[in-house]
Amino acid sequence: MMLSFNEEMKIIDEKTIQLDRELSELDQIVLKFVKILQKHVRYVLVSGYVAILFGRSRGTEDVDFIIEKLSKDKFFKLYHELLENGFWSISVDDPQELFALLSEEKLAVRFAEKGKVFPNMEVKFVRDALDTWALKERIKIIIKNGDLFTSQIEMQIAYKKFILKSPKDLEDARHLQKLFNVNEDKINKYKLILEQYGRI
Amino acid sequence: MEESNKMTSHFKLSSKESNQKQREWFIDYWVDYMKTHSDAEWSRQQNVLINSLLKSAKQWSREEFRELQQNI
Repeated sequence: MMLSFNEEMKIIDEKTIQLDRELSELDQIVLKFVKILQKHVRYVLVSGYVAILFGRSRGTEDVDFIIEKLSKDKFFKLYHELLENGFWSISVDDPQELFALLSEEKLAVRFAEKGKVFPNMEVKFVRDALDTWALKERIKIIIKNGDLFTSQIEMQIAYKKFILKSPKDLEDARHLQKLFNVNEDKINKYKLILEQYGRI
Repeated sequence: MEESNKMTSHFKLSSKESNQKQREWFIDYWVDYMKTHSDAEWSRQQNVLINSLLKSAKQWSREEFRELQQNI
């Protein structure tokens, strides 16, 4: 899949990477959130946080998650466990409304530590075949105090380079591409996948 | 020396181009640094930035945030 970028980072197998980074406050909040989230649903982290996890020198105010679709009952259980563990919804208070935003309006909803707005965890249900692919092909990142699942690095690079294309996203792509020594041919293969899924 | 020349040449570009080139140069420099230093070392440095940005982020109320979202 990819090459190790220094002697410490270990590629355990095709879908597992061990990273011995010191945890930032952002990592700790993400891990706290994920420990609850993963009890209820399969998730994948995408976009800016993936670049930051792998060393990109920038901050972010939100962390993007794609999750499997949940029934209303299961979503309520997740919602209540988040509340019991010090998170709150900053989108709307009513869980019925929150579920409608996710499932009917297909919007993302945001959670943050109670009393705060930033950083927030932006969560959305899978919307299309590409989101489903990202969930199915997710990779495990083993860090101190837990594991995180992210989208494939090559897909993150292609997505940022060919779809998002903002200066920030292009810089994230440059960082990841150089860090993991991913060549242009490989990125172009992922560009084809994006084309097949109708994103380009 | 080669890196230094690369940086100097960036100042001959327009301000916007020069800024972009310098940003790209720093990304490459930082990745090279990461590749030659331990995860603990580079992440300690990165965390100074991330943690300070989180601390300095304006703490909005939920209501302010929701109002902002509605206006986007």
